[in-house]
Amino acid sequence: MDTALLVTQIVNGLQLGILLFLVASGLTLVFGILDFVNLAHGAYYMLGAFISATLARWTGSWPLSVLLALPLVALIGVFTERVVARPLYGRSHLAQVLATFGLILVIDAVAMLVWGVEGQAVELPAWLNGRVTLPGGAELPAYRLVIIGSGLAVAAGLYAWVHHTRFGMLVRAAAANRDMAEALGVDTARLYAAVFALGAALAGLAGMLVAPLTEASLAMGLEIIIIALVVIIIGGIGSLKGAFVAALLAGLVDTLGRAWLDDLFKLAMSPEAAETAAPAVSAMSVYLLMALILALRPQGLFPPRTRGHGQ
Amino acid sequence: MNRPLLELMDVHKAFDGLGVSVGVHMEVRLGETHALIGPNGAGKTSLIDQICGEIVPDRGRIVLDGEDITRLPVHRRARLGLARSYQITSLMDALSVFDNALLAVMAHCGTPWRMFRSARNDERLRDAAIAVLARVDLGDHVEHPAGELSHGLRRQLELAMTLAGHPRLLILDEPMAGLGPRESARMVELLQELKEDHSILLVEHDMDAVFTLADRISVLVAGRLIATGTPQEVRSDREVRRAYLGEDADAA
Amino acid sequence: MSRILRTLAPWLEGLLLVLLAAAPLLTAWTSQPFWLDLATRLTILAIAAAALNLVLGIGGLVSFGHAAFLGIGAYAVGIPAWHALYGGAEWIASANGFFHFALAAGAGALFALFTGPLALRTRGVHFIMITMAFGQMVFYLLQSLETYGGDDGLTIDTRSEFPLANLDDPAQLHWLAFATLLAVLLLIWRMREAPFGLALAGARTGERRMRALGYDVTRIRLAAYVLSGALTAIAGAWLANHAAFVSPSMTDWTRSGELMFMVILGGAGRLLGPLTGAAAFVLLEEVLSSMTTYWHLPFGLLLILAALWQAGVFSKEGSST
Repeated sequence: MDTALLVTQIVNGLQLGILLFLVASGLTLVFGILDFVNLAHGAYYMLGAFISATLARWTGSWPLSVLLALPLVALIGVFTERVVARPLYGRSHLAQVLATFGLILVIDAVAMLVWGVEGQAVELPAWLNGRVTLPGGAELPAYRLVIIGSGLAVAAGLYAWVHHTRFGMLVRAAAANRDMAEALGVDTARLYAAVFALGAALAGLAGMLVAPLTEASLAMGLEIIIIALVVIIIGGIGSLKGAFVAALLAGLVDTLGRAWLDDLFKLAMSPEAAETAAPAVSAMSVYLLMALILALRPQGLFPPRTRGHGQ
Repeated sequence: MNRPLLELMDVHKAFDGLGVSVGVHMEVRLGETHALIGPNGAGKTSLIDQICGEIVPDRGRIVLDGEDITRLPVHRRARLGLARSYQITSLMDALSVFDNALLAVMAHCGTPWRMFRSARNDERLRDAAIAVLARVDLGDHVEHPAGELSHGLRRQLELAMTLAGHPRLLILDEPMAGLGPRESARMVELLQELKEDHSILLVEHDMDAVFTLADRISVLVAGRLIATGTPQEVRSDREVRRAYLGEDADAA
Repeated sequence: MSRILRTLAPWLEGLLLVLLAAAPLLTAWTSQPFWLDLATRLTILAIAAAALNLVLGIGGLVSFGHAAFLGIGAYAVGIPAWHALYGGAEWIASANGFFHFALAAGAGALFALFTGPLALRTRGVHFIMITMAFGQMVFYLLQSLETYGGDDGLTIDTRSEFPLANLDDPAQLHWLAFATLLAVLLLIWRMREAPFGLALAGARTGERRMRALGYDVTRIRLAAYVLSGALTAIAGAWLANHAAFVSPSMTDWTRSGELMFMVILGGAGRLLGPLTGAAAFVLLEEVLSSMTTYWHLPFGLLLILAALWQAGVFSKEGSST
C-alpha cells in the first residue's frame, strides 16, 4: 500500500472527524446539561456555511466572514433556545424531538427563501489555497490542515474552558446535578442560553470551515446531524471526551472504509462480489461501528457519571 | 426448625468505594416472617435490590430454596417465586386497578404471549384478579386508574400485586411507609393474615409493626448485619441497643 | 376543547373509514382521479402509522427509524420485479405479489430482529437516537445499491401480480390496500385486549414493576418491534405498488418524523388515531404545498406548536416560560 495515499486518507479522515466533533460537542453539551435533544443542531451547521458564504461575498474576505458569522449563528442559537427549547426543558423527549424536527423544517424553508435551492461556493484567500507536502510524499491542500489545526485548537480551548474556568465549573455542576445547581443560586436560565449559543457557534464554525471545500447547501444540516448523533451515542451521551474520541474514530472509519474496503473484501471474495458489497458496507460503516460498540457498551465509550435527575 | 428458603452468603456490594453490603450472611426460613431493620441508609433497600436482582452483588451468593440465583435477571427470579413490593409505590399508573391485578395474575399463568384472545374476558384470569383484589379490600375500586387512588389504597394494591402469583417468598419494602395510624393498623391486620400461609421478608421502620409481626429480626447497620434473632433476643442485644435502638429509642 | 375532540374523534374516524372504503366509487362518480390517488396514499400511510402506533403508542417505545421499514418493504417489491423483467438473480426474481409481500414482511421483521435487541438495551433518548441511526443506515445502504438506481431509485415497470386482481387498476389497488389497513387495525385491536397488549402497555407505564412481576420486558418489546417492523414493511410494499417507484428517499429520517407526527397528532395509543393522523398529514401536505412551495415552513411551525401542546406547555399558564 502506498504511504502517500495512506497519509492523504488519514488526513481526510481526521478532517471529517474534527468537523464531526465540532457539531457533536455542542449536541452532547446541550444534552448533558439541559437534558434536551436538539435535532435542529445540524441547522446551525448549515446556517454557518450559508451566512459565512454570503458575508464572504460582501466583505471579500473569508476569514473576516467567519469572525462576523460566529456571533450571528450564536444569536440564532439563543433565539431558538428561547422560543422552542426553553418551554420544553424537563418535558418528554418525544415532545422535544417533534418540536426540534419542526424547527428544522422551518429553518430549512427560511434558508431556501433567503438563499434559494442552489449551493453557494466559497472562495478561499490565496494564502490558504496552497498545497503542502507531508513526510512520505503526500501532497495535500494546506486548507485541510488548517481545518484540523483549528478544530484541535477549539477542542483544546473547550477542554480548558470546561475544566479551568468558573463558568466551566458551573456548567459541570449543572450537568452533574441540575436541581442542586439551581438550589445553590446559579442563574440556570442564562447558563443554558450560553450553552446553547456556544453549541450553535461550534456547529456553525464547522459549517463555515467546510463550506470552501463542499460549498454551502441546504441538505448539509440533515446529513451531518445523524452522524453527529451516532458520534455522541458512541462516545457516551453528555461526554465531551467521548464526543472527541468517537468523532475521530467515525471520521477515520468512514474515510478509510470508503477508500480500502473493496481491497480488503477482495482478499476474501471474488472481485465482482467485492465491488458490489464494499460500497454498501462502507456506506454503513459508521453505523456498524455504533452497533458494535453498543453491543459491548450500551452506554457508549465514556458514559457520564450518574446524573442527578435520572428517571 | 424449618429449612432455609432464602440464603445470603457473604454478600458484598459497594458503590464508588462505599460499602452498602459488607459480608452479609442471612437466611429466611420457610414459613417465617423475618424482619430486616436498621437506621436510614443502613443498606436495607440495596440488599433487597440484590435479592430481587435489580443490583448484582460484587461478591457472594444468593440462594433460593437450594437454587443459586445470584446472577439471574429480575424476571427469572420473580418466576421462581420471589415477589416484592416497593418502598415507593410502583404501579402501572395509566392502567386500571383491575388491569394491574390482571397483569400480576397473568405473569404467573404463562399467558403473556397470547396475542388475540382478550385478557379481560378470560374467566380464569378475571376470577383470580378479582380474588386477589378482594383479599386486600380493593373490590370497590376495580375500574379506577391506579394513578388516581389514595396513598393507602395504592399501598394495598401494591401488596395485592405481590400476592397474585402465590409467591414462595414475599419481600415487602416498608409497606407502612406514609400510612396514617388507621391505615397502618389495617395493613398490620392484613399482614397478620398473610403471615399464616406465606414466608415473608419484611423491611419496616414501624417498630410496633415489626415486633408484632416478626418471628425473627435481623439488624443491618452500615451494610453489616450486627444481629439476628427472635424479637426478644434482638431487644436485649447490647450492640443493637447501642447502634440502633439507642438512637431511635422512642420508636421501640 | 380536547373534550369535544375526544367525543367527536370516533365519529370522524368512522366517517373517514366509510369515505376510504367508497373512495374509488366517489372518484369515479365525480371523475376526479386525483382524489383516489390521495385516498390510497392516506390508506397506506395509515397502515404504517398504525404499525408505529403499536410500539410508540401502546409500548411507549419512541422509534425514530420506522421509515427504514417502509424502504425495506418497497425494495422487497422493486428488486424482485426488476429482476423478473430484466433477468439476473433468479433466486429472487419474481412478479408474484404473494412473494413480494411475504418478502417485505420477512425482511422488515428480520431487520427489526437484528437492530431491536441493540436498541432495546437502551432507554429514552438513547432509544430514539439509535433507531434513528439504524434507519439512516438503511438509507445509505439503499443509496449504495447502484444496480437498483442508487440515489435515483428504481421505476417499477410491473406491479405485484395477484390472481383475480390487477394492481394496475387504481380502484383495485386502493381496495386491497384498504383491506390491509382493516386487517392491521383488527389485529392491533385484538392484540391490545389480549395479554400480550396488556403486558406491552404495562411495560410502558411501569417497567420496573413488570420485571419484578416476572415479565421478560425486553422480549415482549422485541416481539412488538418485530411485528411493527413487518407491518410497516407491508405498508412500504403497498407504497411501491402505488407509486410504481422506489427510492432511498422513502427511508429518509424526515419520513420517520412524519410518521411520528401522524401517530402523535391522532393521539398516541388510540386504535384509530393513526387514521386521523395520516389524514391530517396528507391533507396538510396537499393544502400547504398547493399554496406555497415553501410548505415546510407552515408545516414545521405546526409541528412545533403540536409538540408544545402535547407537552402541556399551553395548559399551565405562567409556568416554565
